[in-house]
Amino acid sequence: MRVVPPKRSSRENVIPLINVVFLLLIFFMITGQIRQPDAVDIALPFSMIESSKTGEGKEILLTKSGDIYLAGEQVSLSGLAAMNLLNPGEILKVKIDGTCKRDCFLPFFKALSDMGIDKISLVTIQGSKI
Amino acid sequence: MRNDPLSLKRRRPSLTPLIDVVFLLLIFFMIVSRLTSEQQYDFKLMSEGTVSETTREITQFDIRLLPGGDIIYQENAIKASDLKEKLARSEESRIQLELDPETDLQDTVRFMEEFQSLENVTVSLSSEGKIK
Repeated sequence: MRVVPPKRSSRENVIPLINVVFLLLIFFMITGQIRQPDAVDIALPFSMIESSKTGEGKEILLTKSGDIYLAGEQVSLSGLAAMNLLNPGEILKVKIDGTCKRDCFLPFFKALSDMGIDKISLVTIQGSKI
Repeated sequence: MRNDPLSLKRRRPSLTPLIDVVFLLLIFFMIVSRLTSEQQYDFKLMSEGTVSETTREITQFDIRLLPGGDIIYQENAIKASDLKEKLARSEESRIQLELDPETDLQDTVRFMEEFQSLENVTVSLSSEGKIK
């Protein structure tokens, strides 16, 4: 008996591929957040407590090496002290590298404290360090 | 005029430009979007010398935080759970936190989160790193 091979279409079926690509596209569009990149890349600290607070405001960034960036521009600690950072009622949004050692972030906190800032909004990443 | 099935098949609109656009959009979103969710945590800076307006007795705990999150109280290592028990015994407690030079912000945040969330407990960082 002669076995007749099934007829194959001349073109591969790309519909499943398109379906998967569409699903991936929808996933990235829904779950991803498009944000302006920071002046420098830093590893934000992890936070176990879930907070829904994600306010906008003046943002200051402190790197592992102690460099301070305000609105994308590098500033010195003394220069920062001379600035009028906040309006009354505003809370400063601070991004600090989680691997910053005591002598990196404590003088920065001290400078903010000397400027009359008693509370900051520290930006963290929700979850635990793997 | 030809009207055979083959010519009808050819008249189907081509999906290739659509797939191209979808692929480009996918690549765009994969590159620009960040999947990690940032959140903000209220962090109280040094508050040495501030007195809370209360008539209750405040017990001060001088704590030293070592790298890795190890806690030292009265020169001895203490577990976080044991410290919490001690804190619960007093009406109102204040933790004065001294950081080891090698203690990083991650350890500090973890400690602050754990103890600031407790009722009647305030945590303040020692400004010089050392307890005065």
